[in-house]
Amino acid sequence: MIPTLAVLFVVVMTVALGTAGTRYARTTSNFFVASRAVNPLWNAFAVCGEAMSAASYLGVPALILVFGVDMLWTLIGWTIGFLLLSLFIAAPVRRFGSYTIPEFIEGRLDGPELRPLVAAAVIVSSWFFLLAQLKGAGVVTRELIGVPYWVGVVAVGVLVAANLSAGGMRGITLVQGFQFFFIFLGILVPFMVLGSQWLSGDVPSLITPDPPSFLSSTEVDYPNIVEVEVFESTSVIIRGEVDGQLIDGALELVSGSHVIEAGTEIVWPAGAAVPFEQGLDRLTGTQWAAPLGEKSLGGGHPLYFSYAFLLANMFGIIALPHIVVRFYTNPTGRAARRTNLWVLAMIAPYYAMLPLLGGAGRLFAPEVLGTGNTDSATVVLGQRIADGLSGELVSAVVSAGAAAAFLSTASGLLIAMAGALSHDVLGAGVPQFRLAVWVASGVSIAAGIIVESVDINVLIGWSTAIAASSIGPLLVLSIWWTGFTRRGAIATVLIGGLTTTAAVLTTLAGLVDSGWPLAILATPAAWSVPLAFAIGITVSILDPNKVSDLGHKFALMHLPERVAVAAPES
Amino acid sequence: MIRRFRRSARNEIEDPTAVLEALNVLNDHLRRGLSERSAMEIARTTCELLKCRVVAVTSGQTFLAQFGDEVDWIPQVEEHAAAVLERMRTTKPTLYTVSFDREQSDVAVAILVSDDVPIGTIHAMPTVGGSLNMNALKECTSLIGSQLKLAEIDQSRAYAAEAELQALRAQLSPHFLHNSLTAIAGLVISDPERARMVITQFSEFLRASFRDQTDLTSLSEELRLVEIYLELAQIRFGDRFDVALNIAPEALPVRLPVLSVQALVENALRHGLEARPGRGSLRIVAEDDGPEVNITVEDDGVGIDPDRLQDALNGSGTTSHVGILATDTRLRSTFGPEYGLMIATAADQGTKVTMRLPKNRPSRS
Repeated sequence: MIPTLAVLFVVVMTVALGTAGTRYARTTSNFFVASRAVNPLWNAFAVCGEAMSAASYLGVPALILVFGVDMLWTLIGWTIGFLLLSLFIAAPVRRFGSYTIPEFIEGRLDGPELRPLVAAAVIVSSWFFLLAQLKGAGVVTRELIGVPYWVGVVAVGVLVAANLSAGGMRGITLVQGFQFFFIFLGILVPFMVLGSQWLSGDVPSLITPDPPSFLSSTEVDYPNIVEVEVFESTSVIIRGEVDGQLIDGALELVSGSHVIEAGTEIVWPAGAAVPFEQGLDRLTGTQWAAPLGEKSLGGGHPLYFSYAFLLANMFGIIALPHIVVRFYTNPTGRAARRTNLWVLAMIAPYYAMLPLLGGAGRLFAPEVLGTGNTDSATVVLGQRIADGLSGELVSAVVSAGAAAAFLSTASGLLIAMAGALSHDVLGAGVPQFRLAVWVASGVSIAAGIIVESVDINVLIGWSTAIAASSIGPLLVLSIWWTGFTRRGAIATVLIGGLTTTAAVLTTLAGLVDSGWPLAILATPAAWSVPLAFAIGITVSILDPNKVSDLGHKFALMHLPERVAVAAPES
Repeated sequence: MIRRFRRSARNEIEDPTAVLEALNVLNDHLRRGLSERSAMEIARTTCELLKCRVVAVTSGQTFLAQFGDEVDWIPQVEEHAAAVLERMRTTKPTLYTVSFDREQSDVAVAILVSDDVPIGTIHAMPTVGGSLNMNALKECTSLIGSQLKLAEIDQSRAYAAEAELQALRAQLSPHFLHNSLTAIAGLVISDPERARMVITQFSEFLRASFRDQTDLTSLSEELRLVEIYLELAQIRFGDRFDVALNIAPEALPVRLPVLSVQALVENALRHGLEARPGRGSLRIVAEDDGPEVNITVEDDGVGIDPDRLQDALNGSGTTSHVGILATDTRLRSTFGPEYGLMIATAADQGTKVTMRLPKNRPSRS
């Protein structure tokens, strides 16, 4: 009850603050006060609200829970990404005065024909990211109120779209700043509770030579049909259908493979070995805590996987359109860098706390390994780590944080997608923007329902891989290399974007399932990012049509604003 | 509404010279567009050429003028004008029947078309017992229509020239220049320190107004210019109005044509607050709206008569609101036709002018 109320509170506050958002700008008769820009710290809260998504909040603990410490590369990649953003991207893009990436690329390379192309890359990568947020929404509402998965997806998709098309994201800085506090609190509170339990010695060790087992007798709901591997014969109490038999009572589940139907409840006894979903590695505590080794990551090539994963996450962050857009609110390039410095300072501890949740999930909520639903780990853990009223409160804080995470990121992504769609495809104007919002969210809701069985981080992996091998190289080369040309840019986006998308779709269609082919196609960034750079550079060098006005453009991007840049002679 | 009634005997036109003369006189009047005066001339010429009992002219469905016998038929004329303009299927005259003073008569009505746009109607009632030459009415109507089209071209040419002049003259009104300099002259003696400061600000403002009119600036820079403008205006205006600002910080980086908000503020002062008795207030609001920013300048002054404003925006009629018109034109030409100004006003109820600005720069294709 309390967790549901907490989530409703976040939703209501989001809509209310967004609608009344302009009051953030107080009425004054003083021009100096009125035209004071957003403080870099406040803007950093907003960037954090945007950047801390369902991907990190729900996805990363799940990833670490399942695959172990190799998954720390996600967080390291993202942190490096923010550093790259701060050093190389945020300030020049801001100084250039551009609101979106397609606009920036068009202005920098004088290529109107580039705009729809870049907009398409933006829309595709945002779209996978948005699917991940909707997936998070479906998982959280199901865990919380027990409604089917699709209800949450539709509700959040419609809510965010309605809020946006009603002009409800005015003063987005305030809304996302507010959401940041909930997200951060949602991770900080379980971290503190777990930390105090660990300090008082109540927590058993995670690094053991055994695979995970249930600490206490645990009742597990199976929302979807799942095929699990049971490793030792276990006496359980079942209410539902297992292996095609309706059962209501005690049963000895023999070791081996079993099919558990959707809607089944099983009570596992304390000490029993945790059953695993078919296809997941059954890692011992020691294996879990050591990188590489005998893992099925990247089709059995964990080292390749680590590099590919790191590259995708690094370049994916700098290229995600909803993050870059937030720096527009900064008045100068310097303020944009300051903002990003604060972002790093706040997001680093957040990222540092997430692995602990993943590890604790392995102890307190190991059943997610066998429900086919690892993304619910954070929420389930929130319900587990304390009892009674304090348990309810912890769960409320965690659920509210999750809601804030997917709401803020879904809104930001929908703005970025609808902005690109309406401005670069449908034509500018408020009715077109509203139409674009509904089209984008409609398509995403439909797809969001379909991806129920796909892990959030697989979706995020694809999104970042596509962004990292098209928009990433495009931004780096246009900002830092005078020799980059229009044709080079077109080649970068087309080759990088299309090969990655094709690789992702091949994996999605299930055409490869193991070994190097799976590694190369499922985690393409290791080859696609260098390829996109190489193609862009080669084509630009061969291209006789160089971009004009380079001196002016580079001065605009790289000199501080107080150095007046003269307009070019025309 | 002009009604002129003939008292003397019918002035028959028989020979071609008289016909041509009559048309020439009419042309001169038509070159000034369709007005009550030219409608009167249209009615007179048509009536004389076609030998009618009475002829009435409407602009749209509104009665403008009639010539001939005094007949009480204006409501019926307006009603049928509305009906034929609604149907608008043919330029050929059609017939309808009017009844007045226990009499009934056929009336022929033809649509006046200028540049393919129907703009009004001509209603001709034949003499008692007489008949109407429908073909002559049709030719007469199309001749008048083509003359009106020429008039429209003339007018838009004049307006274009005026707009160009406005652009060259930058945004500064001579009115403002004069007032500022007079105010500074006053300050030089009473408060030399302040005078020095004001002159510095004034020159900053001048420099901005000399910038290329297609130049864009950020809202935060524009607000600085508005502040200087208001300070200069207040020296002369005195402390007769309050200013309230409500600026969303997200809106500050948005790009807009230089001095466009200032033009709206100047309009509010000159046409709204100056003429208002007592203390007025001026409000500038900038809202963040996703991919766009809305900027509103609102005053509680005397307001603008909506009809006159409509005329001004349509390019007909003269207006002193050149600032608003020029800003509207600049916004449309910078961001596209859908980014014009929105104006809400009524006499004595203040004026609220809103501009929408895209954060995304328009594509240069």
